[in-house]
Amino acid sequence: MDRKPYMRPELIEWGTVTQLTATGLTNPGNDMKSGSRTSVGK
Amino acid sequence: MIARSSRRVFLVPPRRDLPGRLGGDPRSRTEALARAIATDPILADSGATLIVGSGPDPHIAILGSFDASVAARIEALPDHLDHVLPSLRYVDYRDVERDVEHLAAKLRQRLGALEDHRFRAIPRGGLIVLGMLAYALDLDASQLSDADDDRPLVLVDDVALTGARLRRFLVESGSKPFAFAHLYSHPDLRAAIETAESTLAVAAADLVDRAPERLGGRYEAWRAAWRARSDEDYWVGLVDQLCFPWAEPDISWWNDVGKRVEPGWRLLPPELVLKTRHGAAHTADVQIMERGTGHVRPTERALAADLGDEVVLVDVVGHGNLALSGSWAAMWRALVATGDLAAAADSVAEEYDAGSEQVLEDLHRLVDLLRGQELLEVTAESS
Repeated sequence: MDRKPYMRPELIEWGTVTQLTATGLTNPGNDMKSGSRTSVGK
Repeated sequence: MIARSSRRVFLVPPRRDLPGRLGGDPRSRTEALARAIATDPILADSGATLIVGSGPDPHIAILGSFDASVAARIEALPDHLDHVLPSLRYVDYRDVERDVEHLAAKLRQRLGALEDHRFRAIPRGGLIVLGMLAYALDLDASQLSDADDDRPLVLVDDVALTGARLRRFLVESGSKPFAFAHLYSHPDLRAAIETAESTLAVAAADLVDRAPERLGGRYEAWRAAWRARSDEDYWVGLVDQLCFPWAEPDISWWNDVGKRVEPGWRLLPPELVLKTRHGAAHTADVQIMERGTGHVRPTERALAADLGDEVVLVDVVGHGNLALSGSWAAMWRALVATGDLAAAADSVAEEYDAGSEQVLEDLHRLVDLLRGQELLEVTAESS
């Protein structure tokens, strides 16, 4: 079986990392309610 | 216009408040939460990958290329967890049977003799409750027929959160129930239904509204905003999250970036919820990291996502990240699989067109780099 081509090792920064905590939310708890969505875009 | 996406990693720190129903220890509970999150249709459509770390109390990482609307949804996850987890209760079939008997007693008390009533259910949860209720009330088969006759109708559902499902039934069927029976609801919702529709609303047990306490001075503005968005609702609240074995009750979430109402996050894994198990068209990829047993293994602070052409390493302590591509991705996989430097070098040299010396040299560079960042640990036997 043919071996795969050996590619040069590369190291890159992939993206930005965000630690998720509730701190920093502008409206904690303000954006949800019980029950299914009944309309969109309002 | 095509929304711009950017590559993001979101880290969900270990949580101490995951319910025991999710697993016997923090790690298995975190794995279950990750599998629940992965069933989110918006997250699945975005092509996200979820990673659960290798430690006993691991982080979850959510990786992907997300537009601003999906990123905002993920950023709201902790708030969702903070609100829902304290009030989440799994109502199993035995609990349901008990509460169906409570409901049957209340129906007899409020309606008297029921022989002249007919019963229908709101699909799908209502069908399960009505099936049990039919036994608890010893209903005749003729009382369960769909025939639209003059007998007073008792409409059955599993839970009533806003009354929107009742309103849809009224619109679609054109018939008005004499009574709306369900297992759980808030008393104010039942009062609103009785006032608006002259339909008796009967529940086995009350739900508690957490919104006034949680929102404080913002409560009235919150309520007004949701009343404006939800024209089918008789009542708006944030009640305890009672999850059935067949479905997790809906929560609506306002995405202020996407400017639309979206479904809230699911917090129970597919094995606990019939609807999630069979209803999700597809789920986000979930990768569970193993601790490893060899001389070379990832540290607990390393989360590794294998994206196929590259491996992304995320540092849960320093919050940095880096992607290994080319031969280094193959080397990482070989190191994790073998736990041994020499074995990893042999494995890569066998698979790739390179000399052993070249592979070993590159492998040492990789190991030195990752050890320096405390993402990889090497015991004395191998170093």
